[in-house]
Amino acid sequence: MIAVGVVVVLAVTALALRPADDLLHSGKGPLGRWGIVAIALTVAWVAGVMFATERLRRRIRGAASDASPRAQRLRQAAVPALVAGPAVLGVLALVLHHFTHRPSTPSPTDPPPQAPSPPDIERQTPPVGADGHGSGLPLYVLLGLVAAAALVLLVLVVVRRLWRHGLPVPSLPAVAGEDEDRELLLSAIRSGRRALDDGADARAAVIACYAAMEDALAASGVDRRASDSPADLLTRATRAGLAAGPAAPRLTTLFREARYSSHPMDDTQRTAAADALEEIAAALEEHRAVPEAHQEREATT
Amino acid sequence: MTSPTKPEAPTAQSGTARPRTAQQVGDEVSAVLREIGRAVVGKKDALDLVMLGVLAGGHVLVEDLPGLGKTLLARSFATTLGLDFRRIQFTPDLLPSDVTGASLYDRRSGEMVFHPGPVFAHLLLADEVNRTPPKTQAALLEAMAESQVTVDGATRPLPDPFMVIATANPVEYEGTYSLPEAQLDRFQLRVRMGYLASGEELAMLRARVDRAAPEAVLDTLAGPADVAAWRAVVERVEIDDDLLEYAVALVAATREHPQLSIGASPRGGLALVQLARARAVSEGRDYVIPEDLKGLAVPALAHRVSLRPELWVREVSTDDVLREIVGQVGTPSTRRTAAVPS
Repeated sequence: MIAVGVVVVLAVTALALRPADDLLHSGKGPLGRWGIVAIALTVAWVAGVMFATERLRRRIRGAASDASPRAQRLRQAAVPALVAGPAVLGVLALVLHHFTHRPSTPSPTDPPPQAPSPPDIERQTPPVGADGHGSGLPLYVLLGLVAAAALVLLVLVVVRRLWRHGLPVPSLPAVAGEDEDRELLLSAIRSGRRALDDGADARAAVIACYAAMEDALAASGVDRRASDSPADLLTRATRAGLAAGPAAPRLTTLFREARYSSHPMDDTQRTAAADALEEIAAALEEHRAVPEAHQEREATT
Repeated sequence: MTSPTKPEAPTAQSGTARPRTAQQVGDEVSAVLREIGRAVVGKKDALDLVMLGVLAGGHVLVEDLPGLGKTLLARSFATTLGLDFRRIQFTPDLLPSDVTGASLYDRRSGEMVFHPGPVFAHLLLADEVNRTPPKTQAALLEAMAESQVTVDGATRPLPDPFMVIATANPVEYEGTYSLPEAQLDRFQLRVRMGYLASGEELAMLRARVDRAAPEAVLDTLAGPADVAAWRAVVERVEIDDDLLEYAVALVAATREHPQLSIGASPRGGLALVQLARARAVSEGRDYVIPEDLKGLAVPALAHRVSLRPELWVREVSTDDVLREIVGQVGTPSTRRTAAVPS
């Protein structure tokens, strides 16, 4: 539904930007002769969208692991559409831009103009602003603003609906960049420790430890996809160098038994899961600290 | 695991085997696979899948080009598992009675006496099953589905365990009769052998030169009673409700996929779950995990679905579509959503 909504908004925007004569006719774009400005604005627009996407990506994916499969599919459909929509809008503005101005005199190869028949009189009379030089611009700007407002409205409606259906909506980052990721990592580890301390049964504690590992990996850049099995996540974490030790496979094995078997679980498994989580947390912290120290050394030299 | 035994008569049983745990069966299965791996080099995945068919009590369709070791694979399983082994080379002039057997007049007794066909075996290799007309195919496939044959109005049960490993050549169309979807559905899984990697092919040639014999001589490590005991362990493997929902979602996705005209049947879902339980046992577990279902969705379901005709020319295979489906369908969430098993 969200994707369809975005497509509809894009279609409305495209119609608003459509040249007066022909949609596919080049040289009738809405931005007039400001070609360089249009290109610069488009590039800046797309770069801005990419920057914002990169900032939000981890947070969006990290929050998806506990949603139901249906909710995750909805999220998978909605997030790319919402991200791609504004980017496509910028590209669309460039595509429809009028870069070259054809001379009003016909070229030698053009057929000679026919005498207009009476029904063509209306077409002969140029509408106001039909030359695309200045006078038509306010109308298109107005339509573009209307389309942008509709897009914002749609995004607000979608966000409200997602919120109502229990899907976490990414909040604005409190701290930026590495600090934010570190906070996410520590938060994930803390939640695992809390589950171990709050007296939950061993099965729930083991599952909570594994969930904390998932969150910590997501904060480190390896998030769980909806179709991932525990082995898939482990493989990707290992490839990324985040699960090099034996702790992650050990915790994954414990999780599988806790989650998918009815075997009795006791404090032995609980302690083993806690130890594994601590090892993973230490390894992730170390993994994060190495490039930071490297950066600091480079900065001092 | 029993000591090496001679393969027994098809209708005889090798007695009762001791009960085992999943861990014990996993160890025994690993030993059998290692032994077969001495003869069938570099086909670990194919061997694993055929072994899952043995454990799950299903029939296996091995589909690939000639000369890739399909017959050797079937014979090696029969030898190592101590199963009575028969082979039928399917040809266009093969009759149903050549498969099931027929009643012949006995001059001494003056009665019609039933002579069992090669289907009365523990392990039947149906070589190039797509070379025989549908009537003969149907006779075999009926025996596969019901583990019994009816000849001259008399129903005769087949040995237990009874398993068919059928081979088919997927590239030849001249003089072949492709198995229809309904009959393909009788096979629990489809296995593709594939070519050996260069290093493995070199090792195979080296092994052949070193042993100075066409084939490796394998030890018999089990018997029919052991196979029956293994299957009993598979029946005790538990599977979480969330995983059953995942299996249903995989099967349902084949019915809704735009590139498929026919999706997997409910029998496909049953086969997938049973194979997943067999995989759990082969790895020494008595519970199923998502990896079991995910790893077996392609071999268990790809031969049960049909592509839309317009995709035939684009050389899209059902395996590709199933892989895409497996990559899209969500696995159970980390935290339990179904009821906690008691």
